[in-house]
Amino acid sequence: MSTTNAEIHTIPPIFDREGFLLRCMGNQALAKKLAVVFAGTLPKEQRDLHSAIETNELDQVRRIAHRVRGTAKNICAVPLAEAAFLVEHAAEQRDVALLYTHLESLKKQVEAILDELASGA
Amino acid sequence: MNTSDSSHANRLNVLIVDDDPIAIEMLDYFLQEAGYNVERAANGKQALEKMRTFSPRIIISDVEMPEMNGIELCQTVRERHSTQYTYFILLTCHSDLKSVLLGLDSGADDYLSKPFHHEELRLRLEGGRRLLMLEGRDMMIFSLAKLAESRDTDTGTHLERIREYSKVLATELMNWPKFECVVDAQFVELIYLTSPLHDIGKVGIPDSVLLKPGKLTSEEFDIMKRHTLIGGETLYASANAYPEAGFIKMALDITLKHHERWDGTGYPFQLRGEQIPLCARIVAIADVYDALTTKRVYKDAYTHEEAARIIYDSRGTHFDPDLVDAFANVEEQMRAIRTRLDDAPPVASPTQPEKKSQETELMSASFTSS
Repeated sequence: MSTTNAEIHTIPPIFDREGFLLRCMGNQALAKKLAVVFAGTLPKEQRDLHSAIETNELDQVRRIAHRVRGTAKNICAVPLAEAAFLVEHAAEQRDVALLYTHLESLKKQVEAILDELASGA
Repeated sequence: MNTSDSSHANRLNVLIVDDDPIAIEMLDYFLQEAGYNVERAANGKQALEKMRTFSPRIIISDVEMPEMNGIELCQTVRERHSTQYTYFILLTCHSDLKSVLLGLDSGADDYLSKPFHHEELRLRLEGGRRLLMLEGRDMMIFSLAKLAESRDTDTGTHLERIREYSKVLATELMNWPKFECVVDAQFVELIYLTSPLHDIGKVGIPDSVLLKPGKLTSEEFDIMKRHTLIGGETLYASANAYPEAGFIKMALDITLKHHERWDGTGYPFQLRGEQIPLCARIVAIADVYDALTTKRVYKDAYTHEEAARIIYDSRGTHFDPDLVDAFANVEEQMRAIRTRLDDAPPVASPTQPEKKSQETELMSASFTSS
């Protein structure tokens, strides 16, 4: 199915730079600092997530995914926040098969936002 | 940003608790810009540790955190019953009703969804600041009143009776068309809160005068009269520092002017008629009624009927005629308060007090020398 013009307009950007800058009250230096912190934190969160899955600690998976969701919202990375929410929800439901599916989507979003941040740095 | 709000915010310590480094950085920056003193903790356990050396008036906490979550932190803070209230805001991604109710049930004052909106958070913090100010108000009034009580020769329930009398009189005036624009529920609440402060200036009167068992000499009475000015000066500084705090203004008016008389023969300023603030005119009657019906070292207590007669006879001289009429309407309530809050053995009725003129008794009630 092809994407319609209306749908294009409703798809949130991987990273809403303008929105993020507004959340930083227009402070460019703070925005840059937080972007760097975010880019540095995300790979570790992902590693911790995989470790927790391997040891079947679903509560820990849910907690990490919840934290990623909160951070993503703050940084104005809506698709990442949505992907993290799905992982969080699957972990809460203890649905491991679904969890793996959503985990793949989360991985893609993490890569996308890291690329986006790198390109704009 | 409202600058006057910021000036107050400056005095408030805020502890932010979140394991999300981005959230905590953003909050820290926002709060510092708004003029708050900020400390951070990454979870509830760290927050409690931090509170050993940092005393937050407001805590903004995430819910989901390792070691100790925000709900547990809030419950622990509430269980501590510390001497000052801590305004607790939960800030979280969980925005469903069940989570909100759980958060509020733990003792949180407010609940905000992540990501926070700057203006919303600013307004919520203002709400918290107002609540903390109210706590400060009540604590300040209570502390000052207790201080005054500690230097008062009157017995323990005098202040309680004064505020009850004042409340009854003010409530009566609420129904009078003449006072409907002045006396409302807030006025009644404020006079109830602030009337016990009427004699706080006594803390500055020497023991040799304040605790003298007999009548005061003319010189001693001049010293005693200074209690209105001493109390006034104390509250004047606070009224200037907090001009928006209406209760301090009322406390100042009462403290400074409750010994003024309707005919202009009172002190310290010889104000006349409506130059005397209404709250001070109300407390004047309450104070004299209480003085008359209370046993002193140098006199027995008057019965209610005798005290009421003296008050009626002072209509338009010592007291505002309207206030005396109001007193007449609530006489039974005044008597009931006197009976309920009587901490002295009841006067055997009909006891004849030491023979004195009414004027002398009124003067005694107002600390006038004989």
